Amino acid sequence: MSGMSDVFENINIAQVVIHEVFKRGPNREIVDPVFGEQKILLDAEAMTALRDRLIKALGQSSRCMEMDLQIDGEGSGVDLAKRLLDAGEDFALASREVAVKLAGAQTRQDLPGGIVVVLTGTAGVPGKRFVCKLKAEPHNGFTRVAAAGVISLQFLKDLILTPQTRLYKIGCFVELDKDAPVNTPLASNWKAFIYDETMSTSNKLSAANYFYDGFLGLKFPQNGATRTKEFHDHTKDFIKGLDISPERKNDLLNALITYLKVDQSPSIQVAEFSQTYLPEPEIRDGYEGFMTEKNFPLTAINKDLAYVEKSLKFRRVVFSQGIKLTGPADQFAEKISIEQILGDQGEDGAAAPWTKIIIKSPIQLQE
Amino acid sequence: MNEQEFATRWAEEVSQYAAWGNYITKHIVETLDQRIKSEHATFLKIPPEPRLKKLESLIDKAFHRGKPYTDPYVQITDKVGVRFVVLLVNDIKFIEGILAEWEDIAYSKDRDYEKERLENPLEFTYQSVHYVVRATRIIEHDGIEIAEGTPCEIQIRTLLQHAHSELTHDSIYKPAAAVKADPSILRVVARSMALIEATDECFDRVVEKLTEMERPFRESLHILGRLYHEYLGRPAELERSNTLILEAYSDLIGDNLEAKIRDFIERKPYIVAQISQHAENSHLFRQASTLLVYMAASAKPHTTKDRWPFTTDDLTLIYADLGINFDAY
Repeated sequence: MSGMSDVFENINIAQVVIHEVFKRGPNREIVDPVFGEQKILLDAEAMTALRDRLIKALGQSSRCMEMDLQIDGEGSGVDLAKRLLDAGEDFALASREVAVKLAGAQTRQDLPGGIVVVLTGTAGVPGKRFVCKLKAEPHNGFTRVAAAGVISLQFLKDLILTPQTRLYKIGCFVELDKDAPVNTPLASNWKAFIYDETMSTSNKLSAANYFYDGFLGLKFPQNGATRTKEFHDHTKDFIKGLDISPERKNDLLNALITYLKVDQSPSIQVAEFSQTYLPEPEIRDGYEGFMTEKNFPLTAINKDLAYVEKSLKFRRVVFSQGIKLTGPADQFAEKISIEQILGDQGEDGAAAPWTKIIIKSPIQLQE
Repeated sequence: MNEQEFATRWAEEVSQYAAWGNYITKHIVETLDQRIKSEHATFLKIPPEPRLKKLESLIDKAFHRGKPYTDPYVQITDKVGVRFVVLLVNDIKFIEGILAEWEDIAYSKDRDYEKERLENPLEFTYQSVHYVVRATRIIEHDGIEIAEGTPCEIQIRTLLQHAHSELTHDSIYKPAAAVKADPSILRVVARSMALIEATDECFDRVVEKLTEMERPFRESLHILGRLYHEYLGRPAELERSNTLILEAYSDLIGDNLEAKIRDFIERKPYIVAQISQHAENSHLFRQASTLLVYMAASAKPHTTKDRWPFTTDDLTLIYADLGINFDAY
């Protein structure tokens, strides 16, 4: 199994630097970032927690999305990532450019400031180098303090990187081949991922999109419609192949249509579908294994219904001797119930499996 | 030999008999230690202590009970004795095995309840295995020289046989005529012995069934332990939590556990270093079954999380090592 799903296994974090960017001034002027002078040394526990945040955001079945490079010239997000990996001793200094770029990209005045974490490391087998550019918005909380045997609360204003996932965004650039020839186009030697729960794939003008767009120089992949169709077709095949009752199969096929069509979420994801509609862990694992085998990523895909529109319009159930039941997909779940019942005994003495269909409507027309 | 001569000789040799009893007890306990390691603490249900017969009892037995001794000092073989009490009938055979291969002794079976059962199939009476064990050479122990041929009586019984014997031995087998004459007492005693014999047999079957049931677990755990040692360079711990893990994921193990683990580690060699690092602080990562958890988490993350028998802290680490977002499962 080597696909998208294990890009972020075996994460080792090598260098970490932080800077701070601020909200724009009253006249929308950029407020200069404050730069961290040097690399940060974290103890084992802190390192584990930081790795945890990365994996929740980027790992297998996370909500991260693979993106395409929008720009890859000098000064672009990917170009900067490459320079950071090769910066060596100058890493802390070079990473300032990340903060400067973010401050520049936050053009709207209402965008909050935050801590910019720039980190490098390796991931995968064999280890591939990566750069993460992370923006963490401070929020507040409490900690307990014990003094002289009395426990009390202390208010903390600048908490960052708590497990509150909506409060950080990550752009990650992974280098595929460290020894690629110098003239290799960046687009073919780098993969880019983004984790940002606030971004919108449908509204390109959404306020949150400065992060992937202006800051990182990324765009949504062009294959959204193809991927969405693959998701639909593979999931349908999987459900059809399940060893479950016809009633449940019918429910799941209806659920697939609901998930794609009715759900307003801008992205689709294998884990999300299975967590919502497949209660048994064994079936969930079977589904993920099936999708992985079909090379379908377990991370998020931007939803584009262009190629599945037709399939989502009608549901069809076929019986023997040319008998068919079809109906508009959005009515199917609500108006039709299907139940397997025991019919007459056949010659072998066993009851034949029959189907009882209830259509919650009077007959409109007969021919 | 009269009583006076008997007493004089006993006074001369009593320390030799004491040393002999200690020597035998020590040998059997130590051999059990080696053979069954940690379980030995519970193998012997009563700590064995060699016991010397009191002079009064010896004189009584030699001269006043109408026993047909020609040379009572030599013919009384239980001047020193030691008793081993075990749980199961099969455990008796284990100790017999130790005696059989021990070159310092020659032994004869003085009393064999299995043989007695065959000879008197309708009788339910005192059951215990008695051996008379004699030194085959001059042995030195506790600074004392033990003469060749010195006897010691060894009794081996199950707990239930022991209980029966404790209940009845003094009153029935060395009894007053009145007790012996009362058939209703003898009947109850025989009935309890019959129950004990039946129960002992059931116990053996229980243990056989349990062992049979545990066999796949033991085999899997053995393989995991061996692989852990090989990859981690340190022996695995085999605490009880391993059984809970194996039980939870038994249907994910299937055949060829060893080949599967090897293939898995070949694909994800980094987990060896991760386990080694986590093992510093966390008990789970010192257990053999850790390898299985990594493999299960990688192949079936939903099922693995669903069936995880402990709190999730350690499992979160494993998912993170594998790059899997724990929250999505």
